[in-house]
Amino acid sequence: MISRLRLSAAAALLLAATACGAGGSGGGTGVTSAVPADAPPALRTLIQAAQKEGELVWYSVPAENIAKAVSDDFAKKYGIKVKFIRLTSSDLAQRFAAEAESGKPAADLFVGSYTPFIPEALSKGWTVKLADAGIPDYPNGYPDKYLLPDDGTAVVQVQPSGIAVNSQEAGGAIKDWKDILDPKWKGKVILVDPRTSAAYTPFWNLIVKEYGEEFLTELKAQDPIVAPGSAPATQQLAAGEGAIVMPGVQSIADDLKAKGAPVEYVQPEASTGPEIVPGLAAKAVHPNAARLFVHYLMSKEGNARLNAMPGSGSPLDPASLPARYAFNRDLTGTTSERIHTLLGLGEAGT
Amino acid sequence: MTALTRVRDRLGALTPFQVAGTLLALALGALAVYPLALVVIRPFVTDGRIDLAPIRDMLAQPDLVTLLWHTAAVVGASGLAGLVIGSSLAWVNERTDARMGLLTDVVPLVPFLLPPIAGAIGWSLLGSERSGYLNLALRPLLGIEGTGPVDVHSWYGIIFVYTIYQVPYVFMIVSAGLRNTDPALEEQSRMSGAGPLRTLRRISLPAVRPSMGAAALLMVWTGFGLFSIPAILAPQAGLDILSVRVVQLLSFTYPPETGVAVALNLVVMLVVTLVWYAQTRMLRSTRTAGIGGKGARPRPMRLGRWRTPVRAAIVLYLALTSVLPLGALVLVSLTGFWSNTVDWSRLNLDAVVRTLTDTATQEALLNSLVLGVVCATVGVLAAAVVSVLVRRSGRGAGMLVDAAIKFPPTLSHLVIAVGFVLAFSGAPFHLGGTLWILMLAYISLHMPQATTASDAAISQVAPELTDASRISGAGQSRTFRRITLPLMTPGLLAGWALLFVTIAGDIGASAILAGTGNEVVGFRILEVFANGDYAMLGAISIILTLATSLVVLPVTWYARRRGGSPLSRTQP
Repeated sequence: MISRLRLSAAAALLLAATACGAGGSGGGTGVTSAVPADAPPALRTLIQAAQKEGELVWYSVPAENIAKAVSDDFAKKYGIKVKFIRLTSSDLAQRFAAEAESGKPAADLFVGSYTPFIPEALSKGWTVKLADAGIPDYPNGYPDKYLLPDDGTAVVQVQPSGIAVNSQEAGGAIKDWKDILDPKWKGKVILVDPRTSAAYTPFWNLIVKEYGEEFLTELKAQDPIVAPGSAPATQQLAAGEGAIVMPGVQSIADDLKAKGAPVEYVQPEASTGPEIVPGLAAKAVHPNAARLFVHYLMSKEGNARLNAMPGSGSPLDPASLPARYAFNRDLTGTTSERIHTLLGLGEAGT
Repeated sequence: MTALTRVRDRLGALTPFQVAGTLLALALGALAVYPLALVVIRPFVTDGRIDLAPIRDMLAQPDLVTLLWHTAAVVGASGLAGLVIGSSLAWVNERTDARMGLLTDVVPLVPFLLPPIAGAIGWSLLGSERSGYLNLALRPLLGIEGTGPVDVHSWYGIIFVYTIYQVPYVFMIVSAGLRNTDPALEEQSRMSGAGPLRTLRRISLPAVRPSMGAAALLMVWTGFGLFSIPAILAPQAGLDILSVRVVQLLSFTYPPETGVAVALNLVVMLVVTLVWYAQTRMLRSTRTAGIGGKGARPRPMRLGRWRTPVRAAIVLYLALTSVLPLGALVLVSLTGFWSNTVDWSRLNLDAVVRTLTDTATQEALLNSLVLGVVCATVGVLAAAVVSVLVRRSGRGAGMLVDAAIKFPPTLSHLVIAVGFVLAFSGAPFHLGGTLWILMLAYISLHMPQATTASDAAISQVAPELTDASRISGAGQSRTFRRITLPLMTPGLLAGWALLFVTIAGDIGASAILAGTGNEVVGFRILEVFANGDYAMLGAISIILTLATSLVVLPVTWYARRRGGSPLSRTQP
């Protein structure tokens, strides 16, 4: 019965996809819609210029289903065709940098994690500051602490890290980070390899800030299973290869849970995680569409759409964030080398 | 004689074939070197002067010795295992009565059809200590509790998975070599009373030495380059593998540590150079293995009572390397996620339907297959021309061009892909986001495979044949078209199949070069992997494997028929 339901859901999706001539990551809709009547003049001008360009290409770190939902909504609202691809934060940096340097960026903007790449891209002239881009009414009452004026951007999404647990093995037993150090989880903690991306450095700084460096040495003594990424880690968790994933990603855990896997997500109060910021390409092919998209992502409506899934917090809705969320920019002090050494991992880099 | 007339004389002596071939070789060399130079030279030049700091930094890597030792052990052990298994499979299939028709012809290649990232995931699904499908199945049978008996996240596990991806190179190239050598000598040896082992050692092995040398070079080359397998399996085993470290250096943070990454790759280049040099010497010294024979089909050696065990071993190998990982991917795709309990009533086709109805995946699949066919064809033909020229021109310039084509791809494909963006994305070429940039990168990155296969193929064409053609008045292009190329065909088709499969499933270059306008399967697999959707990843991999086998199986079958036909054994 369940499989029948799933099939019909897939069929409905197929119909919807063919109906609007879109699907997957290359998707987009071509509905022409008029400029909203209540738009102020500056916004109206931008909308018309963007519609003239007719298309938008962007690179997304947020998951595929979220990127697609946002793209489809934007396309429907403004009648602009949207194309995107989904990348990890380090692939995005490599690709955007190479394309910008070649003088022909394929993406009009990216929406990626805040890492040292963001100020680097700005200083090399590959991106333009949002404040200087002529976005109508910018920042339009956007909460100050999410604006990063020096880096020329703003946080539009926060993905707090948490703990994913196997409900059969550790259901209810894990409430906070320190519970992971209980000796009974020895050999059952799946550690997402922090050597794969600098985006994990703020997270481990948070743990050091909360519990001291001992936490990392004690975690090493737990003899963790080192997983090459959040995705394989959560799959291993579902199969019972381990009982706990640290740090866990809610969108991945929820997705597996929906498919019937014995996976739960726990959100400790103290948390940090990838902070997602837009970057406007300086030599964008569709600059006005890109500016309109940023305007949309920072609007109440667009930001709600971007953060509709559990696991992402909206700067415009403080209730969607963990009680003691700490910003990446406040979490420095322990270098990535030190973190890797304390966790007992071989070192990359000098 | 003045210098000018000397030059004119030499130019006059050049045939159109030589001119065209030389231009082609130079173009291929430029295509390999130019993008690379854009990325690689920068970290080594500071203020217009050569700066060797990256090499110092590389040597200062705290655990350099561990890194090199782990990498060398994995690549070396899997290479040796691959050479033994691959040559044995080839010999049994070509020379003995244990062969089982199309089954033994193509099934050794099937694990290769699975892109390495899918193969690595398939094996972690099978061989993980607690919840691996294989362990779940074996424990009740063996009466073991808890974990094991198999652990793929270990030395032997990783070497095993590497070996699976090395065997097809050896099998294909050595098979082609055996097909092209004269079995009459082996028969004579047996008739003179030598046993099968002695015949193998004294006659068959020396005859296929060029092929085995080519296979060894390819294995070293691809072994160091394999990235997805160690990235997925090695961290948990506590193994440090060079290809993974290089990607970490390039992508951990921005700006990337390109200098150190490239310096590490230079170590790989050094090893490849040594193997290449050894192989070149071997090709030059082997003049006895040319195509000769009386145009008779080889009579298979009778294995007698060994026939059944040998066949059983082959079937077991095939089941272990092809059926198991594919089965694991099918199961995860039907379950929706990796589970340690299989609830048969809940299996569904959801992921398969999602994959088949996803327009992005459809487009990606089509692009990849077309690129695979086009790039493999162009690559192999170009390689054949280059091989002929390099062999004819001897040392010096020929070797240099050969090296320019073969060495750049030993660097991490991530570095090269960035180089291709810098070289071709913007002005004056404006190829960014098109299939053309992928095509150029794919051809360039896979030239070592293509030229290694064609070098081995040409080395088995006895020069007497081409001499005869020339003496009878045929020009060089005509000789190439009518004599050399047809005689090289079995080896070239083997190379074509290798190229097609690796290009159709390419991930390394596609991660940077594919995008909204030129989606390919490898990139789609990466997207799906990052999303954590193993079910869809399994479905895409299986569909890709089915699609590539529909192309590769007929080609292999044709190559075999062609190689076995008396017509291709034209007498010198």
